[in-house]
Amino acid sequence: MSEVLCAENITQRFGGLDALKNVTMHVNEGEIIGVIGPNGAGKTTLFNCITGMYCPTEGKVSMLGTDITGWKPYEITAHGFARTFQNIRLFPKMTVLDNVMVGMHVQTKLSAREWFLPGKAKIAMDTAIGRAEELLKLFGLYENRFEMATSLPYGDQRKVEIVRALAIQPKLLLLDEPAAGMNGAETEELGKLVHDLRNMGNTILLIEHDMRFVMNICDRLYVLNDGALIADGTPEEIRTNPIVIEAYLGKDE
Amino acid sequence: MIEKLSTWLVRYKRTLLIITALLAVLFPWIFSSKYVLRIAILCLMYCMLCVSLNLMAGVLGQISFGHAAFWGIGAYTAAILSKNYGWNGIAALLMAAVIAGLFGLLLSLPVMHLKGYYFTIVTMVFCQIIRVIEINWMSLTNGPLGIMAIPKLSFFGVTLKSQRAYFYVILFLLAAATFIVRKIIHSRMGYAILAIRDDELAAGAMGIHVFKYKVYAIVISSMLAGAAGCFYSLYTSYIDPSCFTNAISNNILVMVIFGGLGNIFGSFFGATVLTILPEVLRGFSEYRQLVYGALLVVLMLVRPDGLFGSVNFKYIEQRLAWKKEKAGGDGHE
Repeated sequence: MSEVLCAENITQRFGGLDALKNVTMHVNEGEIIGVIGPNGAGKTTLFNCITGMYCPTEGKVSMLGTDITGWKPYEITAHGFARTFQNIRLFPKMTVLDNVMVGMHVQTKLSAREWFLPGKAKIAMDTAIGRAEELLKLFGLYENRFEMATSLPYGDQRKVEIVRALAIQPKLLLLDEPAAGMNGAETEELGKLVHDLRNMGNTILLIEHDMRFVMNICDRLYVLNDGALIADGTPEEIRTNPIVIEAYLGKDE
Repeated sequence: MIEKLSTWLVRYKRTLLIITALLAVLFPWIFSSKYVLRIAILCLMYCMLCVSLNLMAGVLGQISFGHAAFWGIGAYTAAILSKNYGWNGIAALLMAAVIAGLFGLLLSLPVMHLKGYYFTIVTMVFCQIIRVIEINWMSLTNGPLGIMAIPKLSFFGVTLKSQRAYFYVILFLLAAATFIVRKIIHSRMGYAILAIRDDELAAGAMGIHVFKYKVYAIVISSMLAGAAGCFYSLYTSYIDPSCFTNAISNNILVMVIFGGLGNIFGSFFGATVLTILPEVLRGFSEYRQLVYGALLVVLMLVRPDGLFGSVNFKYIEQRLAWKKEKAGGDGHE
């Protein structure tokens, strides 16, 4: 198994604040990895470092062996990482289908030679629309594809964001709190979907607060607290790890 | 009401397009008065300017108060090339577009990281700078006196003199500009530019090179304005710096906003109404500006997005087709 993502000794400083301290982690192909931790632990900062929104102060991020530290977000996306956002960021003036079509941007790129072949661009776009509709069907959003994205219920908006990220055909899908704001039934359904996505060959890294959700679907977990990695391992190991319990619940006595 | 009207427009799109095209082609034969034709020609030219500004202001979402600068650059380029160097109309047109595009590029590079109001202020100042250059670079632009006796357009030795001929030239240019902008909006680049307008950060996360597409949009927009400028100088055969002031920029922007940002049909509508209205209101003589202003205020109160700003014809069309398909499918079962 190859390492899709490898982050080594990531440190991110904002002025005097160390948002991340020496975090090292990796994701293998086909895994579902969770990043958990209390509020302000640096989970989203870690995501931002991986996807190029921030350039880490120290450390190295690599994708399938390529060093991508300091790359721009669009370069990293074009190379194979796709993300969703904690506070949903759909394009508000577009329909569901068009939101997904924006995600097809990388896939519809024409080579220099194809540029001069008549009709190529149209074929590429039509194929992309077909693929977008397939993806929407998979998530049960096909009927809603001509509605404005932001008019959908909250849970569906999250799903659209995931579909949009999948449209990129990423090597690694990064989900920032996909279950946030969902009720029990919706969360369960999302868990199944994430599982299906893995079975279709996707690799997933996710941040989540919902412990049951994480424990059920993740192969391995990384626990962040105060910017530092305090534990990693299988859900079973994490559940019984005294350091983790202390970070979440405080010290006994 | 506008929603209903828009649905109706979409439903009978083909018929309406054919009728409009026919009317446009026959127009100079129906109305032969020089005055009416002149207004019609200016109206079409403003349509072209609005369509081009719409690409920058509506589609990309960077409001510009400096569009007249590109228009002016195109006009001066064409005037100088055809008067001093004897270039023919088509070559001058292409060069005017290229030079205006070049200035668009020069403007866009340093201000790319500015957003919203800050970008707007820079475009305002840009327009002012270009005007100051036009006034003061005597050897090139003849300063405030302007350039006179610009040779009329000629194709293959035939010089166009009649209003009718110019009407058809601008009609063709407008059709071409509309075709280009429409093609862009519905292409991969269009999706990228619209995504940038809606959320720059998310667009970047989708693999879109934000900087590159912003520059593309601004350069194409300014090129089209430059082409319109070329037409203007060859048509009127006299230009001076007072033609290309901030006030004109504002007018073009008002037309675009009146019709609705991001909507090509809206741009046509805005340009047409706001060019014809002042002429129609001549009867009010000194109260003309007052009526004009009051109308704008009322519109902005009733529809702050402009008339067609919240309307997306593509989406209406898709929904209609989907409804039809669904109804048809149920019928078969």
